[in-house]
Parts: sequence; structure tokens; C-alpha cells
Amino acid sequence: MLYGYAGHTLRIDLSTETIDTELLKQEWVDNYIGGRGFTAKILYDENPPNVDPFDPENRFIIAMGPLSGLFLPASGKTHFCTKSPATGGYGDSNMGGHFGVNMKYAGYDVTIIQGKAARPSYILIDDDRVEVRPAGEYWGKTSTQVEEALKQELGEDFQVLTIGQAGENRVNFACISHDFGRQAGRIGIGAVLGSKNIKAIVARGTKSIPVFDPKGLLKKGKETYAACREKPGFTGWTPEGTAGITNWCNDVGALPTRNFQTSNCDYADDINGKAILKELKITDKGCFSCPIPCGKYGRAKTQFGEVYVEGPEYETLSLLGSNCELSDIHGIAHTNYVCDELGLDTCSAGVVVSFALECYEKGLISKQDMGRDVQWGDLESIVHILEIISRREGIGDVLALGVRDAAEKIGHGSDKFAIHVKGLEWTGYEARNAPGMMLGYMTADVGAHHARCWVLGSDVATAVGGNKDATVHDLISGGADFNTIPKADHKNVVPLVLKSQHLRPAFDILGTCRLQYMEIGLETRYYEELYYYATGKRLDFEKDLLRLSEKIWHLNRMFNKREIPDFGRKYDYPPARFTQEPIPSGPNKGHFVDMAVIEEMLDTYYAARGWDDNGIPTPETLEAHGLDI
Amino acid sequence: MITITLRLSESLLCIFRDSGQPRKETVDVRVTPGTTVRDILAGQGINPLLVPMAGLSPPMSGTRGNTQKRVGMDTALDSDGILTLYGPLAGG
Repeated sequence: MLYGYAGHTLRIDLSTETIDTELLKQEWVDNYIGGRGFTAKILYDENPPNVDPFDPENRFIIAMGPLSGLFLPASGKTHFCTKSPATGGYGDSNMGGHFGVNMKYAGYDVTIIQGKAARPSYILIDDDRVEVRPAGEYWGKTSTQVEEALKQELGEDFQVLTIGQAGENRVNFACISHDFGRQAGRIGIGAVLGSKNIKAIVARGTKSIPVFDPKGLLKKGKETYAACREKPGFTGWTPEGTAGITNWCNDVGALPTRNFQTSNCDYADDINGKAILKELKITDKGCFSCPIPCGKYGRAKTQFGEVYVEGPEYETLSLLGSNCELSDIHGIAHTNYVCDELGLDTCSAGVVVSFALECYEKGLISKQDMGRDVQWGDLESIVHILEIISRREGIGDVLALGVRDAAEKIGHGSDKFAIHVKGLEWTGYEARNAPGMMLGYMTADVGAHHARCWVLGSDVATAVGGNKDATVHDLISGGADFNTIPKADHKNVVPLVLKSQHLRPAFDILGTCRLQYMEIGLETRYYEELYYYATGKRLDFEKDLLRLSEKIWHLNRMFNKREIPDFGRKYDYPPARFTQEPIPSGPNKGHFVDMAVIEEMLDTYYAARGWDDNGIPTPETLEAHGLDI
Repeated sequence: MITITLRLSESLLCIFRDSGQPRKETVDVRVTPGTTVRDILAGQGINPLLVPMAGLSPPMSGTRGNTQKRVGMDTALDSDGILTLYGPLAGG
């Protein structure tokens, strides 16, 4: 008996209209545990080398972990994976909600979709009944329109994931939407589903998951919930959710502002977590079994009317807010709503819009190409750009490629302010005085994504603790000189980056949300014990799980090497803006990262990873991790 | 004088550990009534920039989080209590 797993893999070939169910491979379970481990292994093994991301043969993989759907905190994560149209390399993205749980209750730990449907379709998964159904009537509709319609058609107990118009039109940062406001946002995962003519996937599961010790799991699950409630962060963090960090980021000069031109704004109080609570919030909204509901469901009122939206979270506040100079919380929430309806990742969308605004300001995009005059901080301008991207109209067709490829087409030096790594847009932490955070972004397998590494706090601690003559107490108390945060030291960041890069994605393997650990400090021993009661197997968080997380890092690096011509060191470089333009204002004024420092950090990082000078894992490293590549 | 029990969250402890300045999870501080959170931190050599959020609980409330009230750096403390200091939390 395979405890903790549903026990099956579902394979759907849309081209041949073939649907098969097979037993979950023991080798995957033994060597990759679940979730991100499964998807990395399957994508490497089963995707035909060098296939185009929009080729029908590109796999679209859904996977859950051994803790998914069980009685324990926040076990509702669903993991998606494909070859990314944004980067051309390994791509994954995950979301909360209730979809993956129902997939597991339906009997499937893994679903592998290949091929292309002959016509717009949706996939219905209702326990053993799996069908590909026509979806012509839903094509062109918004994400929530489709979710609502399918729930009305099939029943409220079906969980729906959809793509919007952006996914249909293969926008490179199209997302998947679910539960009226949850997204698997990054790497263009929605565009790949759109390329397969799939508008939605609907799941309902009613089966049980076998666990090794049901009574023990129940007892330990209750203990774990209680432990969450005892944590000081339980009431400290939950009210504002991720938006609670906005002012801190502004204070330490890490808030992306005006397309990352600077890192601090004077209206943070208007776009922070408190503003959400005061102006927008109707209720908290949590995912399956989550004790710390970080979603803030609210109502925004603008010149476009009244809309209901989940969010905005910190990333959206920073990237569609300050990074586009939009200083009105209702306006930011409206852009969040527009992205959700169109099926756009708010992280990449914010960076692409700010890039477009800077191009327009510099005369690199004409009013005619843009379709109208656009301005920083103007809600109507931002909504216009989002809409032409999703419809791929005018310059929107170019912007839909993401900033890296758009800059290549626009030219005139626009690549210098295209803020990305490997083709994936940077998220909400400006890092010119945060060398660890920068290195984390640079070396992430999927591109510039904070979910892979977050060491900004340590960078700040190093900076402010390294110079006793410039305490930050002085900086932020009355009469402080706001321009004197010392330069952060880059010398010792590599071990911290490695640790974070292994730790944060580890929860994607188990199938749980990382926020209980990351934000309120739930101890890792709970995960070890829950894993035991679920599977009957012992798991050492450090020796087993983090070691596997490291193995996946090497595997994904090899996937990128295989798929991206000339892949190597140069793909780890940060945007030129960060190495050439000192920050012009705010607490980190004057700071930037010299390329010599970048090279030094990469040398140290590669050596610590067991990669060669070009950033490729050595044969010895692969062998040490049991990777026969 | 009042007694304030400073309690450092795991995220803050982690940052101090990572930057080579490990600290204890709790420490009792005796201050005069009216002392601000900022001054208490300064007295402990904890930079306010590393503490984006602080919560105040009554004394003897143990570690239960649900008795906490969020306080700002300039909040003056007038009676005994547990002051929980949170380190920066990743926004998502």
C-alpha cells in the first residue's frame, strides 16, 4: 500500500483523444517524494528535447505532494510545470485554493497533459470519469465568467481552473486562475494551456487518501493547528497578509518604484496593508485547510466602477502600484481585477507595464503604436496597456512577449531597463543594496522569482549592522539622514542563498504552503512527523528533504542547459540597470552592484554548488546526487 | 518601573543568526513608564529597521498570539507586557 498518495497518474493526450490511468511510479515516490520533485523529474524525462513551449508535445504537468489534501495546515497547494514560453527553460508555478485537493481525492497525484485539442475544450475530471469536452461557448470569456458558468453547469462542488484571454492568445506571462482570485501566476503557464486549446480544467474528487496512521495523523494534525495558533505571528501576520511588508520594503529601500528606477516612494502609507483593510477588505479568504488566511477579498471603486477582487497582495501592490507610480489603493486593486479577469500574472504584468511606460516616456513607443497617450500613475493608461497585451493589439503584441523579448524588438537600448532574469520578470524586491537577494534572483531556475529565495532581511541586517556609526535607529528617527544606509556586504551571502533556495521550494515537494513555516515560524519537526503519520516513512527535513531540493536544483539546471542554446553564466546576470545605474533617491541612494561583484558572487556560488565556471553542474556533482544525465 | 518581556519572532532570530549576531528568544527589560517601543529597541541594540511589526500582549498571557495588539515604534508603554518583535517577512 502506498500511503499518503492517491496512487495514480492520469495521462491525457489531447491530439489522439486518449485518456489513460496508470499506477504512480514507485521510483518517483522513492526518489522525488512529490509535487515539485515529481514535475521536475517528469519534465526532464518526458518532454522531447528542444520542443517549442507551444508545441503540442510540450507537457503540462499537475502534481500534488504526499501531504496534499490531508488533515494538516495549508495542505491545498497544487503544483504546475511545463517548459516556459517566457524563458524557454524549466518552468513551474503553484497555487493554493482547492483544486489540487480534489484532484487527489479523485485519485490522481500526477496528471500529464500533452497534445492539442482540435477545438476549444475543457477537461472534466470527476473521480474515474475523465472527459475532454467542447468549450467553444467559453472561449473569449474572462476567468471568473468561465469559473462561474462551469460551477453553475456542473455544480458548486467542482473546482475550476481557467485561463483568460491572455492565455488563449499565448501571452508569455498568462496565468491560471482558480477560486475567484487564486492564481498559478508565473512563467506563462496559462499560455501553454491556451496553446493546447484548453480553456479550463474542472475537478471533483470524492475518494479517500490512504494514510499510514489515521489516528496519529489526526492527533498530530490537531497539534499542528494548535501550534500555529500559539505562534505570535498568527495574529500578527494574518490581518494584513503579505501586504504587511510594504512599508518595511519602502523603509529599507527595496520597494520597486517607476520601473525599478528607484526603490522608495512617498506614498507607501496609501498602498500598504492598512490601506487594504481600511479601503477595500470585506473578508479574509483562505485556501484549503489554512489557519492563516492571507487572502483579502475586497471591493474597489474607481472610474471604471465597482469591482470585487481578491488582493492585492504585496507583489501586486509593489509591481502594479509603486513600480507603475500608481498610488491609489482602489486603482491598484482594479488593475489586480483586470489581470485576474484577463488571466495575466500581476508580477510580470506590473513589470511589463512599467517597462512600456518608460519606453513611451523615452519616445521608443509612439502614441500611434500605443493606441493612446499613456502616463505614469494613470489607472486608465495601465488598464489600456493590460488590455492591448491580452488582445495582442498594436504594441501589445510585442509587450505580450515579456520585457526581454520585447526589448529585443523595440531596441534603442531598451534592454538596459528590461527588468528580468532569463526572460522572467523580476518581482517585488529591488536589490541594488541587497546582494544576497540579487544573487537569489539571478540564479533561480525559473528566472527572477522570490519564491525561490528570500534573504532580503539578512541583507538589511548585514548592511545596518556593519557600520556602527550609522545605526538605522538614527536613520528613521526624527531628523535622520535618509540617504545613508551603508552598503551591504556581499562577501558571505552564498551560504544564505543556497539555504534559502533549498528551503523555500521544499514545501512545494510536500504539497503544503510554505507560509506557515516562513511567516509564523512553524517548526520543521511538525512536517517530519506529519509525513511519518501520512506515509509510514521517516523524513529528516535537513538530510532528506533539503537534499532532494538541492538535487532538483541540479536537475532543473540541466534541463535549462539542454533546452536553451548557449545556456550558462550570462543567463545569470542581473538587469543592466542594477549594475550601471546608482539608485537616485531614498535610503539606498547611490548604491548599485558592480559587475566585478556579480562575477565574484557567481564564482563563489558555482563553486559551492559544484558547478563549473559557466554554471553547469559537473559530472561529479550529478553523480553525487544520483542524477544519471 | 515596568517590566517588558521582549520576545523575538523566529524570522527575526533567524536573521540575527544568519548575520552572525545570535540572540535569545526572550529577554526582560526594566524601563520607566512611557518609554517608547523605539527606545526599548535602541536600548537593546536592535535596529528598528529589522522590526517591521511589533505586537503587545498583557503579562502572564503566555505565548498565545491571539491576545496581541499591534503597536507602532512610537507607542509609549505604560505597564508590564510582552512585546513581540517580528522580523521582516517575505511578501508571498
